[in-house]
Amino acid sequence: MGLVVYALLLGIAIYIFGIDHTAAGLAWFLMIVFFFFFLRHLSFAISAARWVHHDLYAADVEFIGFTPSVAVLIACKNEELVIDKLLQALLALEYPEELVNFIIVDDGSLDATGAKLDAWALVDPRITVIHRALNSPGGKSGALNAALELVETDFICVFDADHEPARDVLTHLTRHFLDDRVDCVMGRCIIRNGGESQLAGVVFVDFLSGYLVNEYGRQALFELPAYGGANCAVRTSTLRALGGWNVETVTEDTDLTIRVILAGGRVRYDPTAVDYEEAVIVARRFWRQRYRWARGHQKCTRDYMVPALRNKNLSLSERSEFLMFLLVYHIPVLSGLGVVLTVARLFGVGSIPAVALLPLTLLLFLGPLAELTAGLSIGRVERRAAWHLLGFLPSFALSIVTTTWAYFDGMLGRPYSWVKTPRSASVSAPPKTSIINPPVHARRQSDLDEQTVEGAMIASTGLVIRSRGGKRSNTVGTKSFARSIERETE
Amino acid sequence: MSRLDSASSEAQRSPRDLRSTRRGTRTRRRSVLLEILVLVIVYLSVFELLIDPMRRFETSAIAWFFSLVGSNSVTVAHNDSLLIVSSGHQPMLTFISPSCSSLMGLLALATLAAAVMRRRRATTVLAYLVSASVLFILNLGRMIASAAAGVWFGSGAMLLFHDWVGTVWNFIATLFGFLLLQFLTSPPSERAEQDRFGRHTARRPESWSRPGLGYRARTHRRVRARSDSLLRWFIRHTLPMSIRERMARAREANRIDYRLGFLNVEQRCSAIEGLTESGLEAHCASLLAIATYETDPSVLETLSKAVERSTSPALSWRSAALHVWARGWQMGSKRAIDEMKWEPEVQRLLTRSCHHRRGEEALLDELSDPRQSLAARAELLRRVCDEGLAFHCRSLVGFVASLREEELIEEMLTCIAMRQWEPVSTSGVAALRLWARAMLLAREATEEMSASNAPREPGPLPQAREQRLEEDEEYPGGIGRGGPFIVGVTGAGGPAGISVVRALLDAGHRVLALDADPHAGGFKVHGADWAVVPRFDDPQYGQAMIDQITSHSLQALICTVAEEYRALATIAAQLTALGCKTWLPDLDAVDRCIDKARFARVMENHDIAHPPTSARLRGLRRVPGPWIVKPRRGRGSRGVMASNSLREVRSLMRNNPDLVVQSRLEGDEFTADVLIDRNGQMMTCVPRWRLATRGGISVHGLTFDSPEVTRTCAEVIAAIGLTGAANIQGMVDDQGEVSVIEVNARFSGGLPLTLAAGADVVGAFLQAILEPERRIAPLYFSPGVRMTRVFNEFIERAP
Repeated sequence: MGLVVYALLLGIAIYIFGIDHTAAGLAWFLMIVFFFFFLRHLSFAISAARWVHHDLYAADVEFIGFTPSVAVLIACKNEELVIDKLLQALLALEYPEELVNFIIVDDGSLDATGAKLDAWALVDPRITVIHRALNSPGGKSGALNAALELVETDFICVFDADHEPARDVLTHLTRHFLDDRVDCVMGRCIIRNGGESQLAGVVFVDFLSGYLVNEYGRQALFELPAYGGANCAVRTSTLRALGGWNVETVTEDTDLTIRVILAGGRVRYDPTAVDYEEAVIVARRFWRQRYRWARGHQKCTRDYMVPALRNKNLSLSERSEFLMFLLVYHIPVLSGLGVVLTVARLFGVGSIPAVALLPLTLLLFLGPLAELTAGLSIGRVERRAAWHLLGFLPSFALSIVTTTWAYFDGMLGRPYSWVKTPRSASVSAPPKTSIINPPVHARRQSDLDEQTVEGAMIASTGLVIRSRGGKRSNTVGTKSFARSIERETE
Repeated sequence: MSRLDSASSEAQRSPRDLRSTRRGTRTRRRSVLLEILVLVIVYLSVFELLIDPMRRFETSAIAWFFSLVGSNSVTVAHNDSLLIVSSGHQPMLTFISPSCSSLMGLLALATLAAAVMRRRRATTVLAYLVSASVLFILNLGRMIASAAAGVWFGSGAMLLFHDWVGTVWNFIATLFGFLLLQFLTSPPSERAEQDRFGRHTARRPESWSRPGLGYRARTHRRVRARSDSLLRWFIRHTLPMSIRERMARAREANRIDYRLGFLNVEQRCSAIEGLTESGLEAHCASLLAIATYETDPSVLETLSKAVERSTSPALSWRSAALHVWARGWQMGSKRAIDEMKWEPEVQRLLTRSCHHRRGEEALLDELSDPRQSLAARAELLRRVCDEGLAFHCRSLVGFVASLREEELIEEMLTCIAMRQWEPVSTSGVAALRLWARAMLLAREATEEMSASNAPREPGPLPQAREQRLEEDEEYPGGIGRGGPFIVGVTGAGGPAGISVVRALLDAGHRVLALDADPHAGGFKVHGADWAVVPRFDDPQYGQAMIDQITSHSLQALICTVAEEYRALATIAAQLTALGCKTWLPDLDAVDRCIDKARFARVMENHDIAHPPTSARLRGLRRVPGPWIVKPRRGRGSRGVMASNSLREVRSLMRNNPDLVVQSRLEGDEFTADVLIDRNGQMMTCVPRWRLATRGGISVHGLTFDSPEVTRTCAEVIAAIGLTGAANIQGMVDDQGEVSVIEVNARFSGGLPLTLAAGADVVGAFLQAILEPERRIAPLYFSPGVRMTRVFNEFIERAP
C-alpha cells in the first residue's frame, strides 16, 4: 500500500512539474537529508575524538555496596563450534558466584550444541539448559522469552554464542543499574577474528567506529544509545512490564531500545564493558546478516515512527536524533535513489543543476569517513589499517542493494523469519592445550554418577526439557533423554 | 501498538524529571555544534579568501607545465583562464572554476584533521602537508589532462574528459589524499595498540591496558623494534640542545611507562620512589596511571606518601589530579584530613576546563553550608550530580576539597559511581573519579587490615584450601597412601637429584641415592642410602640397576637425568616384574627436549617464541647476535659459551659440528617446574625468576605468578608431547613477551624453592608413579617466595 502511495505521488509530481523538476526536487530533498546525516556523523566523530580517550583511561569506581544478582541468558542454535569457548569465558567471569546464574536455550539445534550444553550443566550447578523443539516460533526472541520465564534475578545480561566476554563485563554492565532510572545497558563488542578475511578486517574497523564513535556519540550528545542484542543488560522488571522480547521482529534489540526509550526509560552505554565476537568472513553471510538487520530495523521504523514523533518524554532535539536513528537503514535506500537520478542524467533525464550537484553528495560521506577515522585513531590501530577503509566502498555499494532489497521486501510484506548467522569459529577453536578442561573431563566419573536429571517441563512453544546441574541419574546427555521423551509424546 | 501502550502505562515516568537531568548533555551537544559551526565558518572564510589566488596559481601552474614540455598551445588569459590554441581546432578560453580548484578538497582534509585527529598534533600537521601536496598534484594532473584533451581532440573531448573522467579522477584523488592522511597519522605497528586485524600488539599488562583495545590472541608475532624516523633525525641534528631537552621532558611527562605493570609489588614501590625523585611533574602520566590502575594497597600507599612529600606546586592537570587522588586515599585511610594540603593551584588547574557558569560559587556555598541539614545537602548533591559531573565540576571539585561528613562522602561516592557513563569531558571529572576510586580502595584496605589484626576464632577456610586439606587427608603426613616407600633416585650427584632425595626423606620415605660418581652430593645427605651405578651409556647400566632394585626392594624409581630414560626403557619390563614402579615419558618427546636443534624446530612449527637457533654454519646468518653457543645435546650448562664475536662463533661451529648457536635474549630469566599428567595435561606450573645463577644453577630465585608464562608453558608441553616432571626455562623481555629457551624432562636444580613455595611436586609425582590410574591433583604455591642458595660442605676422612 505504501509503495502504491509513493508511486502515485511520484506520478502526480511528474504530471504537474515535469520529470526534470521532479528529479530536481528529489535531488534537493536527498541533499538536505544527507546534509543532516553528515552533521550527525561529524558531531559523533568530534565528541568521540574529544572524550573517548579519557573515558577509556578514567579510573573505574567499583561501588562495593552494589552487586546485584544477575541471570545471563544465551540463545543458541547450532553453535557447537563456539559454545565451549563461550561457556569457559562465562564461568571465568569475575562476579560473586552466588549472584550469577546462566540460562542457556538450545533453540532446536541439529548439531551437538544440546549435548555439549548438558555436559556443561553437569559441571556447574549455575547453568540451566532449556531445549526448545526444532522450528519453535519466535527465533531468538522466542528463545530468550523462554529463558525469561525462569529468571528470578533483578537483572538480565544477554550474550550471543559466538561472544567471549571479558572477565569484568558483568560488573561494568550492572553498575549502571545503581541509578534506578536506567533500564538497559549496552557494552562494547569487539571483533576478534579480523584477520580471517578482508571482509572480517573491514567489519573490525566498522565495529571499532560503530561502538567507539557512533554509539558513544549518541550517548554523549543525546543520552540515546541503542541496546544491542548481545553484551548488554536489562532490568528484569522493565522487560516483563514491556512483555518480554518482541517475537514479531528479527531485530529484537532495536525493538526493545525503542520501547524502553518511548516508555521513558534510559539506555546506557559503557565502552569499558567489553566482549569479543566473531565477524562474518564471507560476503554471502555478510549479506544475510545485513539483510536481517535492515529488514528488522526498517520494520521498527514503520512501527514506531509516529509514536516516536508524538512522544512527550523526548525533547525536540532528542526526537530529531531518534528519528535519524530510526531512518539509518533508509539512508542507503535514498543513496540508491541518488545513484538512479545521476545515471538518469547521463541519458539526459533531469539534466538540471540540482541533479548535477548530486555527485557532490559524495563529500557528505566525509561524515561516516570521519567516524571511521576517529575509530582508528582512538583504537590506536596500526597504520596499515587505513587501507581497510577502501573496503567500505564496495561494502557501502552492497548495503545499498541489501537495504533496498529489504525495504521492498518489507513494504511488499514478504514473510521473513529470524535467520541465524553461521559461525566460522576459527579463532574460537579451543587452544591446543587449555588449563581449564573441557566439561566432560572436568569431573571424575564418580562425580557424574551422583547427578540426576532434575525434571522436565512442557512449554507452550513445544517440548522443553530443563536440565539443571546437580542431580542426575546417569551420564547419558539430557539431549538424548529429551529426544526419548519427545518420541514418547508423539 | 498494544505492547507499547502497556509498557507506557507500566513504566511511564515524569517527562519533566527526565529533561531536568540532561543539562550536562545539552551543554556537550552545544559545544560540539559550536565547534562544527566554527569549522564551517573557518572553512568558508578561508575558501573565500584563498579561492581566487589559488585559481590563479593553478592556472599559472598548468601553463607553466605546458611551456616546460615545449608546448605553447596553453597560455594564461585574464589571470584565471587558459587560452587553448591548437591546430585544427577552434581556440578555447577555459575558465578555472572554484569547483575545479583543489582548494575545496584541501580544506575538507584540513577540517577533518582538525576535528578528528586531535592527538599528536605535530604528526598530524606533517601528515596533512604530505597528503595535501599529493592531492594538489593529482588535481593539477586532472586539469593538465583535461587541457591536453582539448589541445589534441578539441573542446568536446575536453568537456567530456573534464566532466566525467575528471570527476572520477577527482573522487579517487580526494579519497587517496584522505587515506594517505589516515595512514600517516596512525601509529606504525611497533607503536600501535592493535594491529589491522584487531589483535592486541602493545603487550600491555592485562590490568594496565585500556579496556578492549585489541583482542588478546596468542600471536607470537614479533614486533619490530622502533625504527629511526626522518622526523627524529631532523630533530636530533637541527634543534638546539635546550629545545630538545624541553621536548624530551614534555614527552616523558606525558608518557605512560607500561613496563611498571609487569613489576612485582616491591619493584613497583621502588619505581614510584624513583619516578617521584624529581617532583611529580617529571613522570606525571605514569604516576597517574598507577593511581588509575593499581590495586595493591602498599603500592598505593607509597604513591600517596610520595604525593604528600612533594613540595613543588602542581603545574599540570595531571599532577593536580594526583593531589585529589591522594586526598581520597588519605580520607579512605581515615587519616587526619584537616592537616592535608589543598593548594588553590590544584583547584584552578582542575576547573580550568570546566564550564564557566554563573552561580557555581553560590552552589558550592550551599553544598558546604553546615547550617543546612545533612539530608537537604545530600538531596542537593544528588540533583547537582544528576545534571552532570562535568556540568558542575567547578562546584564539585571544590566540594570534595571541603568534604568531611560521612553521609555526604557516601552520597558523593554513589553519585560518581552512578555517573560512570558520563563522558570524561573535563579534567575535573577525571579527578573526581580518581578521588572516588582511591577512597573505596583505601577503605577496603583499611578494613582488611583491621580485620586481620583483630583476634578472631578460626573461620571457615576458602574452598580451595579446604579441598587441598581434604586431599591431604588421603595422604597423611604427605607420605602417601600405604607409605612410607622405598624410593630410588637416579642422578643423585646433581642439584635436582639432591633436592629430590631431601624432599623424599623429609616426607618420611626411605631413599636410595644412585649416581655414577662415587662422590655424588646426594650420597652425603643424612639418612639416605646410596649406591654407585654405571653411567647410562655403559652397557652394564641395566644390570646394575636391576641389582640395586632387587637388593634394596625399591618400590619406586625417580629418574632425574633425562638421558637415562632410554636406558631405563630397556629394563622397564624387569622393573615391573620386580614391583618397582617408575614413570617413563615418551622417548621421542624426551629426545625433542634433549636435542636443542630439534627443540627449536618444534617451537618454530608451533609458533612459540624461541630464540633463533641454528645447528649449521650456513644458518648463522639467520641468528642475530649476541650469541650463545652450546652442545646440541648437552646438559647442566656444560660447554655453554657466550660470545659477541661472529668470527669466534664461526670458528667454534666450524671446529665442532655438535654445537648449536642461539641468539642471546635480553630480559628476566625464569624456570617453571611443571607436572604433566599421563594425558599430556599440565596440572601444575610453578614459575620462578632466576635472579642469579652460578654454573647454570639458580642460586637466587623468587617465585611468581603469571598467566602468560603459565599459558606459554602449557603450549610448550603440548607441542612436545611430554608427560611427568619437567622444567621449562625461558625469558620474559621488557615488553612482557615470553620466550622459551629449553625444556628439561626432569626436575630442576631449583626445586627446593618450588617445594618451599608450597607445591610438593615431588610428593605428587611419587604418588602418580605409585597410582598411575589416579588423577594428579593440581598443586598450590605462593608467589613471592625467595630462595638464596649457599654452599654446603661435607667433611669426611679420606679412605
